[in-house]
Amino acid sequence: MNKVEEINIVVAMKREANPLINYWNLKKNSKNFYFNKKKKINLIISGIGKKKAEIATKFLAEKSKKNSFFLNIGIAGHKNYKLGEIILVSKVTDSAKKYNWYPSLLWKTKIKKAPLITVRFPKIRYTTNYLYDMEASGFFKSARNYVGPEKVQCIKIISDNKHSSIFNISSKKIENWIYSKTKIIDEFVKEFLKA
Amino acid sequence: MIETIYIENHIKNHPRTKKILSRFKKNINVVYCDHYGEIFNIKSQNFRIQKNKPALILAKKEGKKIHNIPKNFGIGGKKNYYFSHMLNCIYDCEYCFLQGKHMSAHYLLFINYEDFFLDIKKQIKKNSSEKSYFFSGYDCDSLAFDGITDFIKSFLPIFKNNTNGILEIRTKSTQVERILKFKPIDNCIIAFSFTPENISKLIEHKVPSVKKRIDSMKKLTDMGWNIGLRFDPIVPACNFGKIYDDLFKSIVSKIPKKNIHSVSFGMMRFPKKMFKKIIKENPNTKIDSLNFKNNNGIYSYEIDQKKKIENIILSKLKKYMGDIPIYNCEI
Repeated sequence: MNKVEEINIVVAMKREANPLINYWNLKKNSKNFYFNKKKKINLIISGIGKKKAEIATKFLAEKSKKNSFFLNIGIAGHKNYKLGEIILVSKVTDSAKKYNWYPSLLWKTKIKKAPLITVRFPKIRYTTNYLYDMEASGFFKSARNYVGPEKVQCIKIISDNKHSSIFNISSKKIENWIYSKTKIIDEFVKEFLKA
Repeated sequence: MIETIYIENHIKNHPRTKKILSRFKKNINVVYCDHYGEIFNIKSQNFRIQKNKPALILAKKEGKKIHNIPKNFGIGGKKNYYFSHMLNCIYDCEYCFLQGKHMSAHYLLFINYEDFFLDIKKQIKKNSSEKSYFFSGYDCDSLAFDGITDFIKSFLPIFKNNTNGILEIRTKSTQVERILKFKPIDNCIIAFSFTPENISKLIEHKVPSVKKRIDSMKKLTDMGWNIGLRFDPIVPACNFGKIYDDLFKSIVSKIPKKNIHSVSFGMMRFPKKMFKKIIKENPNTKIDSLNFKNNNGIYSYEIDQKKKIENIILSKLKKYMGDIPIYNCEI
């Protein structure tokens, strides 16, 4: 197969992106677009919601090389998982369209895997054993127009659960959760670049 | 090593699903889906990346389960069918048509064996005046994956009790212990595929050595099982005549002829679309150097070369195999 050219990362919020921008020393290109040519990493801040994630992913795809990798990083809720826990998403379901995407889980990583549902509004009650977020289905819908299921992946950090609702989330906490997992995320990204 | 298992929601409580799951470690990643096609049939998958770490998909086979085999691919019978309880293979042969046939390299296992049994029995009954031949091994290596699937334990009794049906299990595996637990069944042929060792090492990745496979055949014939010899594809390599001569000689020196049901051989051949896909997915494949010609939409050896190869193989087979029936799988 052709060597992966670049990693395109989509995050919803600036506070999710900050630890990654610092870790990879990404340079600002425009308001929401960051990159590090040497490390082959592009990052875009999409804004909250699946439609915004879809548009931002398309923007990145059209800006980057053909054989690129796509990664969505962000926070998500889950009934039982601990706050700050990192999860690799094994299935994405759009709650409105009832459509599923299955990212191929072929990459060497010890990150725990779980399915996810993308919802329009934040969840206060967790009715299933899935993760809940607001962007992944938009990201997958767009990225999968450009590459296959091996090259579109999604990592979530748990921000809320049945013991700590979304009302307890703060910017500082988000930055800390992502910051504490940057090394694991970086190892995962390096796996893609080896492919 | 399988790390992910996809399971169709409606079969998650099927006893065979549970049994298969129990064979894996508790931390195996299980993902539920509505239909296997959501994973297996989607476009733009990369077969080569997936082949490095295929997942297992457990599903229910709907619709037709028994299919007619291509013309001239038989081993002496008039009624010939194949069935595929599984798609894709643990081995990685560079010439394998599966890499051009399916979108995905994941192992797709249909767990509703009982529906296969019904269709097999129905077909045998329909052809009651003559033998029906059933080939397993077109879309997978049934024996190689038996530790997960229990194919042998499940399918052999069906043929034991329906002697008008002949079962051919085609394999490159040496996992014959599960067969040896059964008393030999006359209407079952364990058919081993071979290319000469130096070719096998080059293009049949993860396949056990020729010697090990001959040893496994020997274990089976010692217990009275019938075996088949399949030299398909024939690969024209350096010292072509000698390496095939050595291969045939080494087999007949160990395997009693009375236990060899049949021999078949065939040239490497691909429909145009499949050939293009294989080369695209695996641009470094060694089979691309074999100088294929497009003969009416089928990529194979040039016609004169093919005739020459066939003559050499046939004369050598006749020399070593004596009266054993020999079939040329021509298109």
